[in-house]
Amino acid sequence: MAEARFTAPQRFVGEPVLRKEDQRLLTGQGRYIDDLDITTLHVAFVRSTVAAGRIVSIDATEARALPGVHAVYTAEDLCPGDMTRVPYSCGFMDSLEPEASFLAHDEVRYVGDPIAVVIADDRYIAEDGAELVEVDYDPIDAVVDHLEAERQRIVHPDLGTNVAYSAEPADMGELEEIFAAAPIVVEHIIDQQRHSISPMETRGMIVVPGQELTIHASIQNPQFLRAYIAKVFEIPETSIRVACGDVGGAFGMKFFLHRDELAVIAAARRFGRAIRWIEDRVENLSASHARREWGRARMALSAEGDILATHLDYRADCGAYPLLPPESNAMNVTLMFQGPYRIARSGVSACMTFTNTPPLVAYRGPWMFETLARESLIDAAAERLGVDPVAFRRRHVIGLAEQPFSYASGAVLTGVTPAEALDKALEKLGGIDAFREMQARARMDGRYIGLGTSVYVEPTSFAFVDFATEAADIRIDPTGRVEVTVTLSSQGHSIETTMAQIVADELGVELDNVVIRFGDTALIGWGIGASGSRQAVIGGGAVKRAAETVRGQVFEIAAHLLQTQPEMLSLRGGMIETRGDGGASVSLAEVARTAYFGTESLPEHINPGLQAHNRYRPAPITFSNAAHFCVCEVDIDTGLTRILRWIGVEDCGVMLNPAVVEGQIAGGVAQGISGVLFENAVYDEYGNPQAGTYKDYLLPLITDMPEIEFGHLCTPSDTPTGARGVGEGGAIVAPAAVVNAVADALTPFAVRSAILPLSPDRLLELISAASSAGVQPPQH
Amino acid sequence: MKPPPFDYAAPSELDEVVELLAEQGEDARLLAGGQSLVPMLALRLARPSFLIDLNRVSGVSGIALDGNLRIGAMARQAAILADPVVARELPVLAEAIRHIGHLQTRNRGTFGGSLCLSDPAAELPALALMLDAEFELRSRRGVRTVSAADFFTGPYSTAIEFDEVLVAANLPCVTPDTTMAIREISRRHGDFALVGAAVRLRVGADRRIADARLSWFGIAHQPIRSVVTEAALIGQAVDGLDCADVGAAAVAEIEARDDVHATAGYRSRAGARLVAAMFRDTLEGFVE
Amino acid sequence: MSSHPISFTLNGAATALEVEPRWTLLDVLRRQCGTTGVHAGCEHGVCGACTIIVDDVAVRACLMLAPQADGCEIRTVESVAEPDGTLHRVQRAMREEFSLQCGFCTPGVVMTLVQMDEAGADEDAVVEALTGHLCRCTGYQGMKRVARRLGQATGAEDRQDG
Repeated sequence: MAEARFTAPQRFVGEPVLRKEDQRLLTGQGRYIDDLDITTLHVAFVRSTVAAGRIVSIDATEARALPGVHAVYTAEDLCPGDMTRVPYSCGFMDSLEPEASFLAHDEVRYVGDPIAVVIADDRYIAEDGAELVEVDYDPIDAVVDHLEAERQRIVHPDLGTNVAYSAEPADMGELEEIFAAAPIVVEHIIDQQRHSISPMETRGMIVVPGQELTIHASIQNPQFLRAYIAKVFEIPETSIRVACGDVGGAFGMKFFLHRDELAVIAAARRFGRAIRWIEDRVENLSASHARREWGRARMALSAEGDILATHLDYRADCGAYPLLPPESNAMNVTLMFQGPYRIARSGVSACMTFTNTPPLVAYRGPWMFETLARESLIDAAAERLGVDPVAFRRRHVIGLAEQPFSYASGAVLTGVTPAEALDKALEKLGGIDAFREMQARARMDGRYIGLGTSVYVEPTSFAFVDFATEAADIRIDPTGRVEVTVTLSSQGHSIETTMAQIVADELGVELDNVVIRFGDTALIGWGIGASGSRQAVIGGGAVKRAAETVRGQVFEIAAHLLQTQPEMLSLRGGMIETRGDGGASVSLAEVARTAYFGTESLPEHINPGLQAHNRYRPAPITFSNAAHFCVCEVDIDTGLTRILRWIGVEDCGVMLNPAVVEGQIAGGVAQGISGVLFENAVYDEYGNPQAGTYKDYLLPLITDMPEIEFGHLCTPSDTPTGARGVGEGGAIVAPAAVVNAVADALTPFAVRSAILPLSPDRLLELISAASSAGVQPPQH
Repeated sequence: MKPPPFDYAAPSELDEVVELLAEQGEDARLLAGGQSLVPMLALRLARPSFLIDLNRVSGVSGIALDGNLRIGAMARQAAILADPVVARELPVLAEAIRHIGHLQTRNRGTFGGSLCLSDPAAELPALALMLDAEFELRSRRGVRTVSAADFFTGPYSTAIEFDEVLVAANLPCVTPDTTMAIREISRRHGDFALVGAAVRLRVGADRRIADARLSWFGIAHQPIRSVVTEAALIGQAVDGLDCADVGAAAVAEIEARDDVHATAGYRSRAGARLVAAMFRDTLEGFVE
Repeated sequence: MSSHPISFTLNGAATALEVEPRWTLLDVLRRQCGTTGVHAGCEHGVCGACTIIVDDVAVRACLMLAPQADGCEIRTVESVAEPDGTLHRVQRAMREEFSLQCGFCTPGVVMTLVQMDEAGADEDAVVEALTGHLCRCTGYQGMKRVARRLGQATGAEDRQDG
């Protein structure tokens, strides 16, 4: 079917066309949530200052009396009747959900847990008021270490357990037999630290109550969240409008509504006037977290180095009120742990626990632990076997020719190119031998340089149940301009550009004549929006199909005007032409004018107007893949790690816009690098955040990032555009490459660690421990 | 993250400043560049009743050469960095400022503000300590001079009384027989130092160390000197000096601190190597 | 708490306001002056999203109190392009190098680049100045190319002058 896909002239798709978004964003005319010129009062929260405690009393008398304060609401004000059953986790899976209200009412469960909403003339006064609310706690022991949580005090007494989800492979007994009998077993511990998602724009919401409840918010998915809000407040979706304008990054954090956001909606409904809550950075850094995960990864090998089995004992911290359904993440880790390799048996045992820390939330490639664990395990195994980790991977990695390939877990891989990507990355590196020579020379100069590899497969564009579809409406207006409405959303995804590229090609118009609209439930129906690297694939499919239909309508009318048949026509440069030299032609504008204003002249079988809707559902999963190399240098006097080179070769199918593709990968790689080297949302033993501001929560700077060398394989998917998802991949694949590169650099000290972050103090400690244990760099 | 309420004045004369300080008492605070105080206000960690803004005060931001280098408390860090006299007479000061924050904060951040905040990981307090800077403090009671050794009294604390304002600091210029250096280890460009050191060495014609100064920042709870090591260095021959030993001895005098960015063990270990490398590089300048 | 009358020049226009001393210049620009291109990213001086130019140098708007702006000449991102929308060369470079995605950090980055451009800074100086900005989307790839471009442009002018 590949040739049928590209019948329209290829002019824009595949080209790095400049972004349509940039003019407004570069000139300060973006409209982010706090830029909306809507008259509102302002909200600040009273939040818990302890990680666990019973609320003895809340006294808001002084706060209510402060001039400029209009209202102070506690849980009792916002949840009259039943304070126990707010379905806080968007509930699209049957999660084990504890009792919850918008605001803490009997017990606080993490530092930052919202307790009261203060509404005031401005945010300054609202914060003054919040300070005056006196909360008396009876402190209780906080459950902070998720690895101990199973044996500690129950965070949610109504559940009777701290285990939110657990699972064992069905064939665990057989797996253990393989491990018991295997001549070589390699074991590797991975301990990942807590990350804050930290989009540059914090969360925020403007709620205008009324006959129609209007909610402007900094979110990823208006349609999805409208359905959720309708469920929580038990009002029809049709009486709610949810909209987002420009959104300053999200990365998963803005996919779910946190309890404080629900409280803002409840407060506005109770208060009866428009209110605005703009999260500040301190709130944001401890609102929700991701990546606090631990794993014991094992590999059973034959004496010849064949991989007999892999197993991951996976444990994750869900926080007090996980927004990302624990089972969904465990299931994805389980699905993908085998990775792009021929491994006879593979299984994951999962245990996800509640703790007195902020909620687990989605973060770019939430299941990335499977790649981090597997790829660092592979390097540990290669080291044990005494083979180069790149050669070890090449021996086991799956290539395109072997597909469809059935996983041990039952999933079937199709159309992915891990072997091909690894080869292409190697080519860009200049071969492994040349690198090893350079590495050896550097060591003689006292420089410790390492190469880290990471290869992975990603299940993008999940398309089942409520996630099955996205939709597009396309209409050509009477002047020949094209307006496209989609169920997608953008937090930097460039969809105004990429979707316009698809439409412009299909309809033979200039990009300037295509406008893409989105982000408002008043515009279009159900959709998921930005999630799971799905927008180009599923949304792009809907856009393409809808554009094809509209093109057919254009040809029908043009054929009538030109006295020919539609199949004789082509569309280019805003003109519809009959094929062959000297053919007659008519402009798209003339066809459009006729479609609306000249309908009397049209024969009965031609419908007036130029408009089409398409709702597209692809296969349940569209796979993409990549192979990345990280070259780093570790300074053994300071423990500081510097990335010297980064090579990334991905296969995301047809690239709608290569510059946008590279931008997505680079952003993910940056998050992966900083996740290993910098970021650490650390909590003390009492559950107090220790990295509450940007002074202590470190994001990478321009000088911390290498310039990435890209390579692209473009194996089309079986979707209308041929695209595969690419939004999350960088963040999934990158961390293991860094971990492996650091270990490779420190081979002379036998330092291999996946206890993250690999901060300078940890690395120096490991190097010193190795040195004092007698491990010395080789003398040349 | 909005500051709590306070009253505010922006006097143009130093006399008005000291009058206001005397009138407003201990709950008043001086606002210099604001690059640390304003965040503390936003976090409501600082709650002054009255803020006296120094940004409009005349005559306190000059950089003058008068035997010593006299730097006004309100001299912007960016101005010092760009100043040709500083570059010539005390290049180590420019080097220290290069490590402070970023262009956008140096454009507003001041010399005196950094000294008076006395962040344990800041460059300028340690540099002042290394240089034996003299601080000129003024109050309604008069003017007094405090040496750097007496000025820094603890983490975020100095000898300034609540009614005093820092007017300027006097720093000795570099001399031909003296070498100075400042160096630090930080997680990212512009971050506060995990550990850093400022070194001054004077070497005599006999190729022996005539005077040594070594101050630390980042490592301890306040800027601090390794006085025992300094004393032990005097008289030692430059040639064949074991720099690794110097680093180890210097750090052994200091009680290092832990924080979220690094352990005390790291600060000691990396600090010893940092100082060893600084001595190696500094002494190279004296090799014939 | 007192109210202070202040006046300043904002993007070339005389502006007079009454402010509370605790208001940050950032909030005054956003709420009173309508220059919402000045973004609040962290409100403690680290992220750089609120960077503006005050009296010809780039500073954090969140770290200035409103009364401190009295008598100043302030430029925000809204002033950088031509009135007809024609982009300034640093904005054009940013667009052509794909150096923004969500665009939230962008106005601050533009203002730092304007100061660098006016100072004729070389590539290293531009990169150094950009360490004062956090971007969560791009991994700074485009900004690195912009720095190179501006640095090369400066070098070319130097050669012509020489």
